[in-house]
Amino acid sequence: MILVASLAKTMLGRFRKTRERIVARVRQINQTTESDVLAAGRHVQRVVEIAGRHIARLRDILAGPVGDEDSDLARAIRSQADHVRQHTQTVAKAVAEHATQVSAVSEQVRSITAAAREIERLNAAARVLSINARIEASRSSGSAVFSTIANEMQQLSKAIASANKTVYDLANTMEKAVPQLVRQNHHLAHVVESFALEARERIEAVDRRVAELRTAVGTTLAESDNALAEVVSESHAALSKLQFQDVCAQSLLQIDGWLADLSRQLAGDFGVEPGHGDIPPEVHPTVTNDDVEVNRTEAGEVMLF
Amino acid sequence: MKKILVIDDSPTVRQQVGLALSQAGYQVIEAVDGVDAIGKVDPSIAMLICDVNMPRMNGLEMLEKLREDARWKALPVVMLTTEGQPGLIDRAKKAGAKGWIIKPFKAELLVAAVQRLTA
Repeated sequence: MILVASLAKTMLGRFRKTRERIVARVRQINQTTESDVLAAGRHVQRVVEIAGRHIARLRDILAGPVGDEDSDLARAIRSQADHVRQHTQTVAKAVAEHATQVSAVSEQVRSITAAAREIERLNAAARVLSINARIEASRSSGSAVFSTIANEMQQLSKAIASANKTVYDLANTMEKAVPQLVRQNHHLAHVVESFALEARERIEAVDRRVAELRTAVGTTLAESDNALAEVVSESHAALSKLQFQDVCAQSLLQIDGWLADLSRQLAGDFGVEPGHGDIPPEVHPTVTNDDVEVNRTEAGEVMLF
Repeated sequence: MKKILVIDDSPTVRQQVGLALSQAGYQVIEAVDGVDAIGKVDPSIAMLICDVNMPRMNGLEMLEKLREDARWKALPVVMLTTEGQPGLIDRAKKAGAKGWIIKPFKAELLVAAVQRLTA
């Protein structure tokens, strides 16, 4: 009996040591890692919430002014392009009309020159008539009539020649000005054409830039979504590990409970002091049931009734 | 946004359930044990997810106490626990639990169960 009591005491001592280790381990599991990981988890959740809000805002922006073909920016670019096209067409039309008018003026100057030549030809005939009148006057022994006619014809011829010279000079000036006008017209047409080309290229460049921006923001949003999903997934995985720790802790406490029961039973049977005073009570009560516990491979199973 | 009351003495489990459900568009309210949960149940709550082993009042006691009040007879309750004994599951079933999930749980399965029971 003494031997059995001694054996029971030894076993109780071992139980006590085992329980001390279990309680220490449970405390370590529950206190050391849990608070840190929970704090990290809360930070991750906050980061995910903030990032989620920013991503949603970016998505709204993308859907607004630069989003698609019907966005505000796309419409503004198209409107600006239409304005430039209309103004360029108006200026090009004015330049073409100017060229037509210059051509008409050139034609009219040629007509004036031809008319001046004709006047010169007629004036030459008038001079011949004046000479003839003077000859007739000398034949008629100084006929006053022929002499007067000769004088008047000579005066008229001089006046015509003077007026025709003015017309000639004017026509010459205009003829010289016309090529200059044509050159200016060509230069103006070239400037308008260059402007239209440059404007078109710049508008196309802006359009391309907007499309690139749209693509870049879209890609960034998709990458952010993936990154956030990854963070959430990692966070779930980290917390799942703590869940396992929680399960381990509960299992250890259950074992602790069994050891305590066994210890009390041994103490009762053999009259040995159990010595539980230094072991803290269970921190996690368990609902008791006589059934055999299910296999842990069923963990995660969802049963809906 | 549907409100789910999560009852567990483990902050880890409460946080993980909260994270999974809030990601799925639910609003989560937490209680640390059965007594705390009884004080927080109100008509705006769509469903309860409840641990079994908890101090003060365990999950099964809380469920039975909840069903004594006619207002909460039909409120869906799912037990989320490390326990898997058929006797406990049977007791929960008799008290009107709608489901039993064994920890550690998978977030997507938990969310699917909540979606089904709150649909």
